[in-house]
Parts: sequence; C-alpha cells; structure tokens
Amino acid sequence: MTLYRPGLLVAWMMIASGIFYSGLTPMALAQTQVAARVEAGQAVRFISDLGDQAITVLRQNGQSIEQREAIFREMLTRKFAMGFIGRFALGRHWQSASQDQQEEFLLLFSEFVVRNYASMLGGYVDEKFEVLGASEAGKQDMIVGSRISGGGREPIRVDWRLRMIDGQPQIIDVGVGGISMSITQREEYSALIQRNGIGGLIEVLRARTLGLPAEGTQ
Amino acid sequence: MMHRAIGNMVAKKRLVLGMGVVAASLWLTLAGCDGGEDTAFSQGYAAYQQGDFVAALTIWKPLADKGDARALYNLGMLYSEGRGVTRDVPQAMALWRKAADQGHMRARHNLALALIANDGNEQSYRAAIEELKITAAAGFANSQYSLGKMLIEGLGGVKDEAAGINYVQLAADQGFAKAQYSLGKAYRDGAGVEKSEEKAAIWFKKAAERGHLRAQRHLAFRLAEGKGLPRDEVAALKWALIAANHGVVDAAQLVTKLSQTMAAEQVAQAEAEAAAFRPE
Repeated sequence: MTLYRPGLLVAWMMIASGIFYSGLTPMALAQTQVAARVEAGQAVRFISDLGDQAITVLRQNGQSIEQREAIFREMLTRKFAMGFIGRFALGRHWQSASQDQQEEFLLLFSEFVVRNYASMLGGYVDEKFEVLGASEAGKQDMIVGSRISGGGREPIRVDWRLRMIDGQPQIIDVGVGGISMSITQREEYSALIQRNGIGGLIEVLRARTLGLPAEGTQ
Repeated sequence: MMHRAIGNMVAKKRLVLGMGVVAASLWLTLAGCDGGEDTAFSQGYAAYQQGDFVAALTIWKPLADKGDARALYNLGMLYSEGRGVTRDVPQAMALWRKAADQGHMRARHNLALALIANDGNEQSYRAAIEELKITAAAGFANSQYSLGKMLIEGLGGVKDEAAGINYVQLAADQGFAKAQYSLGKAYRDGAGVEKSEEKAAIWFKKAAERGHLRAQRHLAFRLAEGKGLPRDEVAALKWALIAANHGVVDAAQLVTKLSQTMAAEQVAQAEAEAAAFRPE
C-alpha cells in the first residue's frame, strides 16, 4: 500500500507540514505553518461548488465535449494549488531542475492534472456528485469526502485535501479510493527521472497532454 | 436508510444506463437495416458528445470489430480515458495500432504519444519518433511539435536540435500556440537558432494572442521594458492583467507596479482592452 512505505510516509508528512508550499524560505514556511485552517462549512461549499460546476459545465448543451472540458479545465486550474502540488511531485529534483525546466514542468503538470480530474469528473450522462462531509487533517488542512457515480462506473470515493493559501481555500491533494494522488505522482515521477532525467519526465507529461480528441463526422 | 438511498440511486442509474444501451442497440439495428455504418458511427459520436460513453462504446464496438478505422480510433479513446469502460491503455494502443495500419493518422499520432507516455524507454521513444515523422509529414501540428521537442531533447538517442527547431517552426507556422511559445524561448535563449530578442518577442506575441498564458506574461514584461519590441505601457498592462487574472503571480505584481505610475485613462484603456481580449 502506497501510503505506508516509510519514504512516502515522510513525503506525506511533508505535505501535512506545508514544506512544499514554503517557497523554501524560512519566513514563508513560518507563514504557511500559522495559516488558518479552512472552515468545515467553507470547505464543503468549495467542493460542492466544484461538483456543481462539473455537472453544469460538462453537461451544457450547444458546445462540443472538447469545448466544455476546456472551459471546465480553466475553472479547475484556479481551484488547485498547482505550484505546491507540482513542487511536491518533483520532490528533491525540483532544486536540481533548471528554471526553464521548472517552468515547463509546472505548465505541463498543471495541464495534465486538470485534464485528469476533468476526465474523472466527467460529463457523464447520469453523473452524480455527492459531498459526504469534512474532517480536519494535520495542523492546517481540511479533507472533504465525496462520491462520484454515473456513466456505468462503480462509484468512486474522492477525498479533497484543502489548505488556505493566500487567503483562499485551494486543493493540495486528491485521494482516490484512499490513495493520495500527490504521493503516487511523486513516486512515478521519481522513477521516470531516474530513468530518463527531468527531460524524460517533461516529455512524458507533454505526451499526456498532446493527444488528439475523438473523431467526429466530417 | 443511507444504504437504501444509495441502492435506489444505483438502481435509477442502471435504469438510465440500460435505456442508453437499448437506444444504442436500436440505432445499430436501424443502421444495419439501411447499411449505414456512417449513420451508426455518427450516432456513436452524438452519444459520446452527450456524455453517454456506454452507448458510444456499444455502437462503435461492432464497427471496430469489422475494421472501421474511425471506430477503432474512437474506441481507443474510450479505453485510453476510461470512459464507459475500465481504463486500459494497452487495449487503446492495440486499437490505435489497427487503425494506424489502415492509414488513420490521428490514431498513429495518439499511438506515438502513448508509446512515450506509457512505455517510456529508449526503444519506445525511437518507435514514437518513427510514427511521429509520418504524422508530422501529414501536417499534424501536434505531431510536428511533439517530434520537434523530442529531437531537441535527444530522447530515443536521436538528438538533432536543428531538425527539432524546424519541426517546431512548422507547428508554429500553423498557429500552434505551444510551438510559438517554444520558438519564442528558443530565440530568447539562442537555443538551436541565432539569438534574437526581436524574433522572441514576435513569437511570444503570436502565442499570447492565441491564449498562451506564459507567453502573455513574457509579452507583458517585454512591453514594459521595451525588450525586443517598442515599449508600450498600455499594452504591457493589458497583457499583465490577462495573465494576472489567470493566477500568474508576477504578472499581478507587474499590474500593481504599472498602475501606480500610469495615467488613469491609460489604465482604463488597458483594462478595457484586457476585458475585450478573446484568444484567436
């Protein structure tokens, strides 16, 4: 189980402590550590809105599914703390990456993440998004549980980890079926970097974001 | 109580889903009656567009089994994204391979990317490069850009910066924003091309106008400094506002800095232009 490997447990503790949002300066770290927790009601509203937007935008008539997903991806980007999640995913390799690589990685990572979650949230014809409740996590986070069902899929349990960043709640991790996506990505990326360097990882992310859509009638 | 509610929800979901599949089967029958595989394919696409992925799968599967390249390709999309079916990338790749063997270029492009994204070894990189050479020659901007970046990076043991830049240029000339931005950076850094701040600014501007966020940010700073193009604070503020509205932090800082020194009517003009901006 991913979460119980010792190295990854340390990684998870780093998410909880806010180290990867620190900008790596002691002052910023201190500021992050004293940040107020997102209130339970606010956290539930934040995720409920996300679910409502997913269904409203992705099911809208009059636009192609590709257009609807593009609109939703833009909305979703604003809800994720991409800098935080991206740095965490790259781990110690962040420091050894050039500025250009850091920029390119974050651009592609952000695009990949929103594509992934937009696809998971779906646009399915009979989709349901239910918020199950909120609970405190660590010193500063709130986890909101949700269940997504529809489209012939088994219902998926999705837990959204929220932190107050720059005065706004933002998603810093997503748990699907009890597995942290941030930790899974970090593990996968580390293996890819060991094999082909940061350039190889960037190439993989680029490949995951440049696919062509389904073909319609000409 | 909770279990019953969930049970009812699941039962309703299955009913709706079942109706979708029945409707899809009916369309298949009708399509079969008049020999209209095109009709069936179109109905599958309509179901896909409506988010009824199970119905789309039900319609496209028999067409794919008969070897219809478009149905093979779209079925591959469903498997690749786990829509209406459990995600299965090897199955998607197998379907795309069958479609590509019939000359389906989109399938060949997606197959190449899957080779990079999922296998990720030297052999698969080299195979991807060969596939992308074909789709790039067929004019696919996505392929030209992907291939260009691979050759620049030297993945698959084939490093050819000049050829890579040429492919990126082909995609940029077609208006592919990522390629335009990439070319802007190449001219800025003198990477594979002769360094030119003017050409860098030209390509950043083209990408910015097509909605590329980082290009918008770079263009804003260049216009504020007069780097590679004439200094223009109103235009700088316009692009900084657009980038800042999408969460680019240093663009927001530039907005603050420029707004403090510019005349109120200039700020208003920039704000109006930013509000009116629509990507090309």
